[in-house]
Amino acid sequence: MKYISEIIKFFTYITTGIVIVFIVILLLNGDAGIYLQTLIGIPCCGLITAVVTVLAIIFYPTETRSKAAVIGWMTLHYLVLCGIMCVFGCLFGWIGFNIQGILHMAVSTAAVYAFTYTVAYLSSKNDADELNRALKNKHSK
Amino acid sequence: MKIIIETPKDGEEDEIIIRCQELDEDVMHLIHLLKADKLRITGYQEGAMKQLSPKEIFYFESVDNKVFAYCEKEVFEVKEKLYEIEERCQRTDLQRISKSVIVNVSQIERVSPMIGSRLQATMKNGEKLVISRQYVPELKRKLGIAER
Repeated sequence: MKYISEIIKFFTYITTGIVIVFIVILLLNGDAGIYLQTLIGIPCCGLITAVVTVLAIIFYPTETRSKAAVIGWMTLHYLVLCGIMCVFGCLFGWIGFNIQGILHMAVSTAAVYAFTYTVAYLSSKNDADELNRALKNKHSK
Repeated sequence: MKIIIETPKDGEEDEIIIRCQELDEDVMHLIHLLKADKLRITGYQEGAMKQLSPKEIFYFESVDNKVFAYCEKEVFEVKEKLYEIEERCQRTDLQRISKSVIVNVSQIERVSPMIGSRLQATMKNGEKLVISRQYVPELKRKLGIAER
């Protein structure tokens, strides 16, 4: 159950991030509308990448505390997400299967990754603040 | 609730008698607290054996199929598995925070967010432990924070 709630949480973050990136791209390109295929594609990508993200968190080696290991793990996670997004991007016709299309998707994925990371960090900070308040109460008893 | 403290006769064992109308939650909590105080974990260090109170243990860590109990300055090997300790110490301040670590919540100084959606617990002796995301709800429950 706890994994499902984590998947739902990351699905919400990622899907919101993809929608924001899409809006920015559409505004920059001057497109007026959005196709049904795109509307179906966004939650599909959100769900798959949320599952991968939760798996990355579950299998994250907790004994690893060095910055280099954390950056390595995040880079691997990003590359896997990039690969998934490129496949879905080609399937839904968002990008062409060429260098330009892959680069386009890599930049878009980086933007969504940064958004999701920021929201998840703020959520963790909120949890940490809540735990610190409870610890303070416990220690003062 | 009235509290009466009596001195036993010479040669008599110390005892606690609870007289109550019913075993409600408060009374049960009191019983668990009394029992927890008696709980001991056997630690081994250089061939010597020591009975450790859960209160003096900062955390347990499983490394290469061995479990170690980390006190403020000393480390003891424990023959029990992490899940056995977890089961036995349910009513104490010990709480699982990752696949390989059980922490004594009373010895946590503060918690801070980390990259990768994890939290970091800084212990009162300055050691730092990683709290896995999936154990945060259980830690919150242990500290009396209601789930949203």
